[in-house]
Amino acid sequence: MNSTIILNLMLWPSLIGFIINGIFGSRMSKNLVGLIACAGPLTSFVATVIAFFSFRDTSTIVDLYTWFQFTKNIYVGFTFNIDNLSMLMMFIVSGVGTLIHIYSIGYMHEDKGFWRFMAYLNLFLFSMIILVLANNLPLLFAGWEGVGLCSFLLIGFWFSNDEYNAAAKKAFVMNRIGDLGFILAVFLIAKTYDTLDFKLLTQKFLESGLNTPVNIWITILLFVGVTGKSAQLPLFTWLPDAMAGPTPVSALIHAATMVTAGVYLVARMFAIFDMTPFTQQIIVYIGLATAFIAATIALKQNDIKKVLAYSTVSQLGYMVVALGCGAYITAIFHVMTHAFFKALLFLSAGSVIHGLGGEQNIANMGGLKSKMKWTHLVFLIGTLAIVGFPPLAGFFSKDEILAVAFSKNIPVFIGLGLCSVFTAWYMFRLYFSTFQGEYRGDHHKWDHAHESPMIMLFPLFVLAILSIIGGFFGMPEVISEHHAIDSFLKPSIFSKNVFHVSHTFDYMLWTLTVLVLALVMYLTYKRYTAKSKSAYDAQSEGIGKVLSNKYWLDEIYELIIIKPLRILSDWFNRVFERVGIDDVIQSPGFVLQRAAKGLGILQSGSISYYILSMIIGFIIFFLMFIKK
Amino acid sequence: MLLAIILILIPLIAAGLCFVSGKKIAPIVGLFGTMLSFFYFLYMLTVYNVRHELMYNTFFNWIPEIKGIFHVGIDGYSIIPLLLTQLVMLFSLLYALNSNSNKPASYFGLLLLTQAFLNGFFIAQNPITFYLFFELALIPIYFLVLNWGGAERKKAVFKFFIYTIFGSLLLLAAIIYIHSAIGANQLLSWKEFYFQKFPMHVQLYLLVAFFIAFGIKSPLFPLHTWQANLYSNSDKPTVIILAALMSKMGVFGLLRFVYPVMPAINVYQPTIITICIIGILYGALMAWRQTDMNKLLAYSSLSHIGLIAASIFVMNVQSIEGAMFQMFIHGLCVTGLFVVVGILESKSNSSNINDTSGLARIEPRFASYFFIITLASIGLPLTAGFIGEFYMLYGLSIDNILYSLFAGISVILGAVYMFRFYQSVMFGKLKNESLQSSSAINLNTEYILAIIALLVIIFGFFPGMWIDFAAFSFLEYSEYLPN
Repeated sequence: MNSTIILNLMLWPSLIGFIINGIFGSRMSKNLVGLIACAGPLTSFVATVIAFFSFRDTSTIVDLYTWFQFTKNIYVGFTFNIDNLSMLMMFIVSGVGTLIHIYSIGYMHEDKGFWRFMAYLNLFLFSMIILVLANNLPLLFAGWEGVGLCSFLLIGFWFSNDEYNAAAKKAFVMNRIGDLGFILAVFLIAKTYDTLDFKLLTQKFLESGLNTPVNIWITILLFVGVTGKSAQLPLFTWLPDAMAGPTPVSALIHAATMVTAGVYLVARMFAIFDMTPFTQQIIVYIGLATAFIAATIALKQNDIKKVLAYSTVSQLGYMVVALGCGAYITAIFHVMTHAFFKALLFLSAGSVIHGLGGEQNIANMGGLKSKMKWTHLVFLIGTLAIVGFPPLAGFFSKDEILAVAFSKNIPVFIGLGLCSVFTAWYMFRLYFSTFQGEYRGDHHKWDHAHESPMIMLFPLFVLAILSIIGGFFGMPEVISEHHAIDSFLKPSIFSKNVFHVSHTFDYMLWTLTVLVLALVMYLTYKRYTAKSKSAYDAQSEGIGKVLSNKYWLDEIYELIIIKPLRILSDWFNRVFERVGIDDVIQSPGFVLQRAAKGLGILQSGSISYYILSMIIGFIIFFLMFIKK
Repeated sequence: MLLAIILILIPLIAAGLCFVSGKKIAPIVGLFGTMLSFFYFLYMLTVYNVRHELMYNTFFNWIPEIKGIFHVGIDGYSIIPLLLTQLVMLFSLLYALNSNSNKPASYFGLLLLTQAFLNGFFIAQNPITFYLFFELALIPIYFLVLNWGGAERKKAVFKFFIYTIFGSLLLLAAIIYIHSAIGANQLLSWKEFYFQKFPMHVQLYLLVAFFIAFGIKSPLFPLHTWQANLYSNSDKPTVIILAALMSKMGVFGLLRFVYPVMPAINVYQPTIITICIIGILYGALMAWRQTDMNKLLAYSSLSHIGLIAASIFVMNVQSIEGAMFQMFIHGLCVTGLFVVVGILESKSNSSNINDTSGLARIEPRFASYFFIITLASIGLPLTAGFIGEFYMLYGLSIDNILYSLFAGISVILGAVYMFRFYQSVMFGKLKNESLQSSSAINLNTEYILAIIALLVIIFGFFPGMWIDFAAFSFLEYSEYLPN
């Protein structure tokens, strides 16, 4: 089929869904709204499948129209690139997207704003698809900011709650801080390379291949954008707050797709990152620090969604470490498996919340496996997948990241290994406290607790299967000669970095993984299936206090950035505007008025002093000319 | 017959008819006048050739003693401000139809008079004509605020008047000086102007004079202190003209005068741009803490106009294109936002953002239009606001990436204060009972918002040809640029 047609089928359906539901949604039946909303991503998915069979291993450029002619040489079009990387991302975005749309029909069915919710989800998907398919930086940026906007709309979906609104604004503003970095990087690229087209850029990067200061600045600024969107230090604190949005939003935007956009961007621009080792070092350590801080905070959280949120931040840290090591394909591989199991975990957490009538505190849960058999099963699969239990999806991708880190930088490897232990701890803690042991909460809720309807369970089953088999696309060479993801992405990401670890290392790592997991499982089982709630109390001293308070990061930002700005702004308002500007500008008049009063020539009166000062100014001005 | 002067005559005649017609007919005459001038301009556009330097000229000997020629015509720079003027005047009049003002005959007459003078200003093709309309446009505005404004209108308009007159005098002085330097026997056109090469120190004085004259009109930091009070004390149709059109007179003046006349600007450029950037951040920070909606928009305008001025001073193709485009989009957005404020004020009888909340629940359509306009004003991609900002910030970065960095901070702050505004009036709980029972939004005003929302999206997807208009004029005039 013609590439333009396929591209249009990939791109527009969700936007059409948004427009229809946005305009007529309030007057249509919920089923129709749901159907229209799901049709969008599903069409995109099918189109992607067709594209996969038609254009595999090529890079097909489709230019729809001129967006703007930026400079003489820089053409910025609505231009899209269907290559293997964008197709893989399309599979994730539209596939997981479709499942989450279906799930949302069940989850949001009782909400008055159902149509609005579905419309926003569609708009999000449209922006995300633009981001993934874009063939130039400004267009990617359009998607990039578009997903941020939809994130804003969906976090603050229940807009009567001011706290949710604050979280939405925080997410948008922190993203914008990153976006400023992004856009400055775009300017530097335009100035230095005279093109913004990905294909040409990759060529030019590979040709120049220099570690020049400007390239270092470009990569650093791009990475600033990544820290905003992909929730890395120092800009990650918006993501946990973003859990204010409905759970499908957390699954789709804040776990599976949007937050991985930063990883995608770096993979897309791999050529320039490859030639700036300095930036790569920074990226590795930022990723490691983020993974570590988020994983430790997750140990002490009691909100089921917050735990998953910090876990997402931590997993994004893993991906960023992989990027910093130059293992772009490994990072994308983890993006994929993470999309499966984290969407699964969020959605099954949503199923728990749904079943318990809105309860999110795990201290008030426990023993739910008897009430929610299927949710329990899929949540267990998700847990095993994320902790890296062989042979589930997370095992292979995480193992690959660890191997990459090992071959590049042993201390980083050790740090990541430690994070894996934390991951296992908070995930098993979450699992045991929710589903095993005895129920600790309010008994009305227990009586009310129920399994979710089929429309919510179906997406869970699909994601559970993907979480089990997702890893087989990227098996290490010990097991198989053929690494499917690697060979699939090579045409798009032809970075020359190789990572080699011995087979012995692999075997040792796996044995260690299984042993540690078993140990952690045992310990958490003992600790978190007890009837008492004491294991969930916030600690008031020691390291526990630091973790419960999330390292006081929010407070620190408030103190060093927001508060000074607020004081400055208040001072401008109250003092400076009046005394600093108005009085100074009118001072000639004022002096004159005083002089006039003294001389008795003029009896005050505002008109006269204004006009007089004006005339004096005028005269002075002419005197200056005469001087010449 | 296509002549630029007709763009002045149509509203002028309509204004005259308004003054003499009765209460009932005056609004209709007025609306008819703006529509006619709008469609006449659209018709001119269809015939206009992008690459043509100057079209539809009218000139005659006005003051023969000093070779004062009255010359109007349309070049690439005029197109966008003219389009903006016709659109915004149409919106302003449509909005004015609802506000049951007293003395509608003179009210509409004055509005039309403003349009005539503004059109004249944007098509003036020599400094003297330019100055004539620069002054004339002030008069109807003065009376509009004085007779139909808010409680503190007298004080506010007086301050405005003094400031502007002061600026005008400087402008006049500068023009007379240049005129006499060129020689009174020469014809005085832009090109004649641009050919002059003055000694450095003279250029500095001229630069200061122009900066103050246009900086007051725009206004630019630190000449803006008349702005917030005037905006909050004018009625909505007038403040729309002030914020959307009069502010553009200032930056348009900079575009016409400052860069072609003075090579010295190269030396003082960093200083001037730094002042502009301070203004951008200052305006944004001020807007952040305002509780009065009008003042919030006034300071946000200060910030936006500051960016436009900074771009004009860096003088490269991208920055000029961006500045032009942003003049247009800022004009549209600020019109929409003041219409929004008008609606909010009529609903809650207060201009404090804390007195309204949760309105999205009962006015979903209004909420969407308002949201789209908000997005355009914070420069979200795929709305028109992005294009202008992208061009301008890039233009700044060609000179110095630090300019873009600091000016770009306003993009972050813009999101902060605009979302603060939006969230506090539209979101939250519907706490005020009277809001629920307040009358529905007038259809006229809703149409205005819908059209603006649609326009900013269309221009966001298809900015193409509108950017070119400025580019060709810039390239033509840039041969006078110092290198």
